[in-house]
Amino acid sequence: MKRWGSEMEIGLRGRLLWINVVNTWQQETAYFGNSWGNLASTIMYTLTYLVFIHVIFANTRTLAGYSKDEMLLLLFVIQVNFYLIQMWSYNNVIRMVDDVNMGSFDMLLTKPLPALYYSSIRSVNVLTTLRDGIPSLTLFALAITWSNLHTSFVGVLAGAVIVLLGQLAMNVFFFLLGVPVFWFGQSADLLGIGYSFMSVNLPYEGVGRGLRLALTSFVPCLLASGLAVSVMIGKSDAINGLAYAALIAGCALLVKIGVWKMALRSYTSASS
Amino acid sequence: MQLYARVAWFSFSSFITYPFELLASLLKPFVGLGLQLVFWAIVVASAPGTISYRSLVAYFLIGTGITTLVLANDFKFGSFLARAIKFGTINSKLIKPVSVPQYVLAECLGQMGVRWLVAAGFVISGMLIQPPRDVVSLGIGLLLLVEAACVSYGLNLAIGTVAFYTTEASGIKNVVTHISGVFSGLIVPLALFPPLLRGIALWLPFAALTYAPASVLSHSSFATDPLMSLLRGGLWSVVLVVGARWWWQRSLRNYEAVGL
Repeated sequence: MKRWGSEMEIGLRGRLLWINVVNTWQQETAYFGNSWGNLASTIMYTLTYLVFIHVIFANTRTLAGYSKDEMLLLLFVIQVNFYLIQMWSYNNVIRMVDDVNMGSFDMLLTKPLPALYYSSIRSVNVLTTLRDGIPSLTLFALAITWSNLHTSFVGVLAGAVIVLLGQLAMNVFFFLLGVPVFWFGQSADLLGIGYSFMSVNLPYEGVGRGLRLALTSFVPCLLASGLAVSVMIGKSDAINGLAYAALIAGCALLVKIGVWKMALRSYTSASS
Repeated sequence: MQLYARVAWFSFSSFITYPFELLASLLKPFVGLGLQLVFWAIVVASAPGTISYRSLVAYFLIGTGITTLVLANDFKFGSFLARAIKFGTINSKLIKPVSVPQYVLAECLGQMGVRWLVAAGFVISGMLIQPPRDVVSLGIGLLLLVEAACVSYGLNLAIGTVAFYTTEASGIKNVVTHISGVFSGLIVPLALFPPLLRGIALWLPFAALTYAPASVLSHSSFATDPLMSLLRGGLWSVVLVVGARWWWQRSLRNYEAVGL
């Protein structure tokens, strides 16, 4: 009986995810002109960022020991992270903050749904990610001279896993910036601070030890990008990097579950 | 004028209802600038003797401050206009005897009040770290600041006007924000650009938003020809303000409001 229950649970979660993906897709395709605007925006951003790197490396040969191609790889991974976070994490926290602030969060709690899961996957921007991510990442990929990078299969694989663990940690970071809305009624600007950390383009080896620790734990923005790339190009040990990222992601998830329970306990419903 | 001041004050008062948000609003510019300065510290450490870090700090403090003061950081005024058109709230303003752009600008300024104070602090701190060359430079720098406000007003108004045609204008706004970020000198001082690119960038309107005033208000190796900057900025101010206002009026005439 218990096994059947868990299958039902998985089925429900799968259906919820699918409904939200379709719903987000419909919202994203509603404004045709703006879709093209967004595409133009992401291409312009990529081109201007390539100009930026060109300008930086016109003034120096290496940046904290990173060659131009290694730096471009870092930016490539930062972009991957940015689109992934936008797709499944950041927008959902914004929505949670809006819902609590406007009082519509009550509606979510009255439904027989796993509330934390539902609010975490409410908006999954697949179209935006594909539409904006593919051209942007292609341009970055074309700008990199891949043969100049000294990578190993194990390093790249470990780096990719660190990216995923870093995504989890960043999700919790955004959640923690958004969750004060349950106590204070608003936290949009606090969450806005999180946005500043989404595209941190610092090479892992370039920052001092204290700042590096802070940016890979409390504000884990360097985990999914800086540390991952450092492992990919062999500047950091793969096993140590993986273990550290797993530790941070695990702790972050525990914190999220604990804080969510506290938030629900202190939530004052708007309609009761 | 008094009416718009009251609108701005009301908007500011609504914003400070949440003290926690007020704190976040104060903190946010420091985080952005702090990360930027860490990055440039790495650049300077990697190319010793090429760039003065002190000049960079002063430049970015003034540049970020000015860009925020003139609402060119993320073109918030344009976003406010576009949202008013998208959600139809512009209709309730159209029936009032007010200038809609000015009214929305006042609301936007009220919301940005706290960031304005921080931005002003940034500009003053930058000028203390690396003061302008002389009184004349200070005077020209202040004129460039006015031009930056005019250029930004024109760009913001144009972004808002786009929403009459596309309803949702955030994509267009992002295009302008990204181009502006690089070609205004907000991310990299234009003096560090390769010569050809620098020549082009200096003639674009974006240079008037950050690079021109920031490089004149702090005496450093990023200095540009102040009089040429003044001339270029003046030209773009006239073109953009007149052009954007004309486009806004023209689009408004074709606008079909729901509920009016």
